[in-house]
Amino acid sequence: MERNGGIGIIGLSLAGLGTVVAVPMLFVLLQAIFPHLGENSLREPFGAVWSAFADPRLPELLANTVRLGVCVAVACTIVATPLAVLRALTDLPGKGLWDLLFLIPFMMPPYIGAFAWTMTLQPGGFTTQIFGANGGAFLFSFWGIVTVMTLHLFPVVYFAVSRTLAAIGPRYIHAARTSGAGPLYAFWRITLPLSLPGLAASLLLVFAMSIEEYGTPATLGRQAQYLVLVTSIEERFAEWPIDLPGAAILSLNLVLLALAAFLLQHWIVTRRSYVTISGKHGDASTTPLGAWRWPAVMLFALVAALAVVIPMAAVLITATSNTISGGLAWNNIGLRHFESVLSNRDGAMDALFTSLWLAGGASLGAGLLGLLAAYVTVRSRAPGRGAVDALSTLPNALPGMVVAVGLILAWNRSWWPVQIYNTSFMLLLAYICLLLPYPVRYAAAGLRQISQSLEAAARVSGAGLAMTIRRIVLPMIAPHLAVAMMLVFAIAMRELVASVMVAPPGLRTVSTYVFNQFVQGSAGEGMALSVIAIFSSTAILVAMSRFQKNLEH
Amino acid sequence: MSGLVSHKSYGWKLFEGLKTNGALVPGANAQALNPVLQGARAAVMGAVDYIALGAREKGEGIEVIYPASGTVLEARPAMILQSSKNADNAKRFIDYILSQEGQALVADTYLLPARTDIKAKRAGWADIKLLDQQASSEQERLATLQRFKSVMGLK
Repeated sequence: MERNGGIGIIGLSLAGLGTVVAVPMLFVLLQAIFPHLGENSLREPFGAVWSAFADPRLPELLANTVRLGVCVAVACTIVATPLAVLRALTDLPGKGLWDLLFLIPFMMPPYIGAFAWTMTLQPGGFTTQIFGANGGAFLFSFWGIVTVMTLHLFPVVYFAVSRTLAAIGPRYIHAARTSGAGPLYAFWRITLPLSLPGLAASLLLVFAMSIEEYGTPATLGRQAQYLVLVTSIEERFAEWPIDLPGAAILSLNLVLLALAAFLLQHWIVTRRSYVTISGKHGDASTTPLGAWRWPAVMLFALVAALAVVIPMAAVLITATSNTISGGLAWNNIGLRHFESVLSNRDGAMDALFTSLWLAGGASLGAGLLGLLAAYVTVRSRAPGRGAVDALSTLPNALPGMVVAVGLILAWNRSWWPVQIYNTSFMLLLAYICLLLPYPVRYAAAGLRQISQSLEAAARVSGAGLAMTIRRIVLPMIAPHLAVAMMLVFAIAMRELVASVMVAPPGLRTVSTYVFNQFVQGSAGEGMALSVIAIFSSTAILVAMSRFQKNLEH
Repeated sequence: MSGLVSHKSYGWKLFEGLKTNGALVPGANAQALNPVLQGARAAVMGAVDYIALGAREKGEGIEVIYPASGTVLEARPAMILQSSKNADNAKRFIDYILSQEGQALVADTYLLPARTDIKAKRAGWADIKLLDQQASSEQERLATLQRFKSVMGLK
């Protein structure tokens, strides 16, 4: 890497990463240490730390958070592992369909799932109206929260384990069977140990996603009296008396938990001691299910009904019911909420367009910064590379709530020459920080596949670093980057927690609109907008991937 | 709340009684109202009435009842900070809120306008019996909040 250009690109990445990642985290730390930071004073350092740790609620909050994460991870294993084994190793019918169906929970934000289940199960809800029975006592309990979150997150484990198993293939099993092992013994001694890393890594991911989840504990946890770190942080910001040092200290606890999960997951994934892909690919033959074929399909159908069909139906019914008290009745069906949303009476369309441009901006910003950071990490050996690597990896372990807290603490200061607090720029910064890991990971993977000789050739022919990146590197990793940017777009479209925390007054995104309709307004209008948003963002993603495929041909 | 508990005919026994009857503190307004609309719960107490009135206007089967024995008013304060850099504009904004036009907008949301000469689209000043409310200190408010949490079994 040319010296000046190299330093330039490292400086640029560090400036970007500093603004997006380091500044908010620094302020969380400062606020935790200096309780009077809000008055621009550094007096009484560590004054709030001891009292925060002495707070009898802290151990309970930590225990609740860890317990939730562990239980959701275990529940996901129980639900997803049998499905993944059937998917990967047997001749299950309709594999493509199940994969597609299990992608849908990703598109549906978890708080909408929580709300859909509330409308379905609470006394007087849809199950009461149809069957005369309700599941309110179960839903508004710890296990209710675990169930709703599991139905949202089990696909993470399902996809990870079924892919690991497919990569292992049945060759080793055949070898074991030839040597005299029974089918269960072979599964227990061969398949299971080989798929453990994939399982463990995805479980840690589920754990991390569960402890930072806000929507589900916020909607169901109040009635269950189940408080976790994330909801308590929000409470310290939103309810009088406001407690910023307390919020900062809880945030640090949450980051440490998430960081531990991430580091453990990273360690498992990068150990590479379970090589099963060795050039000779496993043959594609699968175990025939025989008479077990239909029971297996029934199992998949049951999970799909619980995770996809029922919540989607509850969302659609709520969106097309004129009134909630009218219940399930033909004369209560109407498009009033859609009409209200589309006519922008309550600012619903404004919220949709705000989300569209913010998600677009975030995908551009994160894409550009991710490209720079990945280039520095993969190609450079200059000083500063380590800092770029660390800062671009850190957001993997940053919960949305903590990033939001950091941004608020950092920018709610009158002494900044440029004031971005209470502008939509705060949302953009939050999204870029949270979603940066996707473009970094994809761009780095792309860069590692490109031989450096291409870049060297360009340089020999007289191109500068900027031109080499623009004309050689960028076109070659564009497909990788585009996929990552689409992911960023899709996730930013439905991001809730940071949006709730940092959106300026009067500015609403799809998620804050829907969430607000649920807590303060009309559930029907909220659900109508989520239906529109889910369909329009899916349509945009499909159009973008078509466009990308056309470019490649 | 402090208005209710400091009143001799209600006091803490009101909230203790509610708790005994299985009352919950479910969260924000619509979060409390939705279970009532679906029939999961019988009533919301201290519901921000304008949301219920708005829902009723849209056809929801719900009624708002003001206790004949009296209730409390939750004012929506608007204020200008002493340190405001834009005091003139802030003042003009407050003047607008209190103008005929501003108060008519307030009335449209089913809130109770501060001015008695603007017609409320709901029970007005004359229709609701209000209890006396005294300002309380920060300490008192914190103590009330603590006691409320322990009475209602909140953490």
